[in-house]
Amino acid sequence: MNENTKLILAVAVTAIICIAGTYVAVGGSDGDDSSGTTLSVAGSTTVFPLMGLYQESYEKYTNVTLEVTGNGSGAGANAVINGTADIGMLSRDLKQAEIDAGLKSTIIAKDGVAVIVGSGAGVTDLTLEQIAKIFSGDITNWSDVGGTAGTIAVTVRDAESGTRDCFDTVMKAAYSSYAIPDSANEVGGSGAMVATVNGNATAIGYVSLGYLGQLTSGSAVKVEGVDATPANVLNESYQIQRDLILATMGDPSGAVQNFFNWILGPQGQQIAAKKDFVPVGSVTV
Amino acid sequence: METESIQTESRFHSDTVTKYLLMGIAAIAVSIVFFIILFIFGNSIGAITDVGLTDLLTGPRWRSSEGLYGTVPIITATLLVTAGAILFAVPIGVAAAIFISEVAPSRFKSVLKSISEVFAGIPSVIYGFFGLTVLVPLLRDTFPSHLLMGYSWLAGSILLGIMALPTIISVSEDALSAVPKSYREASMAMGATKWETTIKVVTPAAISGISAAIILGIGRAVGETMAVMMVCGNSAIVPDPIFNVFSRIRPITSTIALEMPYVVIGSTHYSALFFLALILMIMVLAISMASKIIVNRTRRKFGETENKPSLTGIIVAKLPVPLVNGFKNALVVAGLFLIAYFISLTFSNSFGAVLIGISVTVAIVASSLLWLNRLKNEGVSDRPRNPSEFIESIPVKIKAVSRNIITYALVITVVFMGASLFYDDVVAFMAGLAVAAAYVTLRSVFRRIDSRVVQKVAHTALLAVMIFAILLLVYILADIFIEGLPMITWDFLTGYPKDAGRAGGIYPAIVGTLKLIVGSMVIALPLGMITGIFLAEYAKDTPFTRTVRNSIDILNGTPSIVFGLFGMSAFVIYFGFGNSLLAGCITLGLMVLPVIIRTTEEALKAVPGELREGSMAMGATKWETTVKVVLPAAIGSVITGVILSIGRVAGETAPIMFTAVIMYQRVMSHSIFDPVMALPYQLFYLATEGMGSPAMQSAVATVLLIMVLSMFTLASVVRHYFDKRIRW
Repeated sequence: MNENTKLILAVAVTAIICIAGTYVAVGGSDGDDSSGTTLSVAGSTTVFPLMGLYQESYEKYTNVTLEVTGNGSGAGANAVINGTADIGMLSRDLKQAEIDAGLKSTIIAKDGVAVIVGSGAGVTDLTLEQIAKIFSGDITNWSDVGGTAGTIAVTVRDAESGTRDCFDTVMKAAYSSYAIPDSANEVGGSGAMVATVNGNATAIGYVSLGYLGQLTSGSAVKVEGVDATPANVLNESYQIQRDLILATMGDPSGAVQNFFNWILGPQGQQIAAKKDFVPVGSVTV
Repeated sequence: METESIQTESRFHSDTVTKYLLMGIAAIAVSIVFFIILFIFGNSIGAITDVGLTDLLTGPRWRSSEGLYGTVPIITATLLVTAGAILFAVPIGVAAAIFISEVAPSRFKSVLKSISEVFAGIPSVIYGFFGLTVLVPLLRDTFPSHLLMGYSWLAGSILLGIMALPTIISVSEDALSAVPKSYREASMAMGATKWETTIKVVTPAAISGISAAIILGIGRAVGETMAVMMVCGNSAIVPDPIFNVFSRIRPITSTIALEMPYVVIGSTHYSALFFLALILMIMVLAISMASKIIVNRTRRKFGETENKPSLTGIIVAKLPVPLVNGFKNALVVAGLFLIAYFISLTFSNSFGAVLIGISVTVAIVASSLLWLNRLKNEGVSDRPRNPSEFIESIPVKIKAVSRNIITYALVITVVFMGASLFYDDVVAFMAGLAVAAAYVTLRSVFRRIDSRVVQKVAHTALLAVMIFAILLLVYILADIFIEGLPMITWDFLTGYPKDAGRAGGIYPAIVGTLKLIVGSMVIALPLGMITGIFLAEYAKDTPFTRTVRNSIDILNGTPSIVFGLFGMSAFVIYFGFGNSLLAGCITLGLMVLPVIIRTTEEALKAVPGELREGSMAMGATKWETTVKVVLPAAIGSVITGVILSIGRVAGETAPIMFTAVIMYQRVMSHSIFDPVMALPYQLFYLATEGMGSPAMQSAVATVLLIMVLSMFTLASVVRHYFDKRIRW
């Protein structure tokens, strides 16, 4: 063995680290340098995929870069309040505390919350009261609501989810002793909810219309005889629905304002419709 | 400096100056520990004042939406999931260690040891992904009437058990190998078989080391975040009954990781999460103290000198004896109380549990003191002054008898607990009795069989366990590679993600991970190597040095989620770096600092003193000697350590999830104040959110695994190369 091999090896390892570092610092082969504005967006996992599509189209002809994280409506609102994000995505209305902290909301679309059941449930239509009783643990077997016998596996969203907020509000109105037991299976995102129902034949859960495309096994049930579709959300015959909003600290201005105008313009609303959300036109609150 | 001939005096000065400079840098490790404790404790004060310590510690429900922050279900979950993991990992781990140390032919030993190192190198998010896609569905299909979904304490414990295995195997193996050869020779000379020697001489001699291994395994399991969070179901409930392994649970680490993203900074909820982190820290510190005590005991046994006390040790030694004893008593009583309290919580409300806890504790302490009094009258033992001495003063015979009783009681209880989940209580109890009887019979049968046959059976059993462990590893890797490899294309590696990460490539995540590696090394390398040099070359055995060493131990044992919380509260918020590459790099850098310090120190210490003496004799200063003679001689081991810590940085998720990462980025920013995408977080996000096809998730996992495993391969190549080259 060569005396210098040791040294060469040491140099080689250092060089690998340095080259990797330089490569990173210079910005990779693509040279995708961003010289424009960066907007950070955080919040609702319901709005997250929609924001992803906005991002792909919007970044094509502006120098605005979007950085998006989907971690729940409450997280989005708090990120804006904490100053760690410019725009918060929410699938529920702002709470009083959030309004007091200075947040302003802009409605970008309407959305329905579909009740989804596993492939072995054997039901296609449920009443609001039946759904509320299932989620409260007062009905525990699919045979009690006309389905195939089997213990119902209830899955709910985390406490800060906008989807859960909407769902709980409608359920409370339909069934006064509605209460989710502590032992319910809790998931942290819309995708996780769909994945759970996909994988469990006797599961029940709820999710935004925008996520129904991801449901490969199992189905969305009719609620009070009405299908969960964008059309039925728009004509308000489908009852579990809410607004999707973007929240900013104070009124939107500058780059954020331009982005919002584009979202509410024809291009943005078309993208929303393509994702099974319900366009709202140019409605600003 | 080299060219001039300098007087001895100024050389002496330059060495003193260097020494104090190095000392200053080494003190950084101490200050990091101080600041971690300061930030974690400081942020948890809000919860203590808002909710009250009693409600925090005894509240039966954790529901942030209702303002309820009772930590009982959360702490119970951590204890339970850890206990389950240890029950799974200890038999397998110790058996594998015995196999490697005592049975395996020597040429396989290093291969088997490196296999267990590969286990240790797999990132926790990969274990979580394996749990989510393989273990959870498997458990659901195996126990369809008990598990609706498969997410459970059982899944968490099995996964944590697999993760604790490498620690238990490697530390136990070291302990077994450290037993002097003369013990084995003496035993064999008496006519004992190899197996009898192993089980009756070598293992008992190594028992302290094995206990330390188990405790370190517990430490690993307690602080684990990502894997647990992905498979436990995360319901904040106490299992009913308490041994219902099919229950969903939500341990401390999962609670922090799940809830931290959506809390308002400075709110009670935020503070309550820091309080949980504080409890986690206290648990981990207690565990590392216990392992230290045990390691010291081993040293004493083999005639080595004990570690001298650090500053804290000196302070404790200066305290009056009654105070220290009183503290010991208080600890034992508090421990008894807590155990009784948590167990009785299952039967009654928290007030009742407090009462039961107090009465059980009083009963145990009183009866043990009475019993000892009687023993004293029979002349068996002196009356011990406090309960902790009582345990040590139990005479051998009574120990043996009570050990038998405890063993049978344990067998019956464990079988009963398991069986009662499936059958009614009477049947379950009968099953417990039957198994205990079978155990007694088998044991006496085994005693009569020819000892060579026993040895054959035992060795075969050990081999089977070893093969099981290896197959497990092969299965985890194969499962991911087979599905993931076909998905990896050039476009996947160099493309940007599309449709919220469901499609497209992972280029920004790969680059983000590389950036985190480079950045954290820029921070950890100089700090770590200089501290390592100080400890190996300059440090004398002073209280300061011991404090530095203890701080490094604490840093080494601190769970990664605690680093994440510290990084968030200190760098993201307090220093205002925001969710950024910079904050992530500092956090990760601090996390791997102890690894780099230790490997540098060990490597330098392995260099023989003659080299230093030779250099000094030529007139070089100490610093010149260190940098030009000692460090080059040790460079192989140092590089190995650095590569291993790069592997760790690449795979960590918990420290970066609140400090540096985002899910989706279409254009990369190159400012260090902007966040990055990272492979482990991307895998976590895709897997838990069910984004993209399973094949795509596996492909991300594959890329991450290849990155981490190639670091390990590189490290072992470097190590083997230098091992061969350097002969003193």
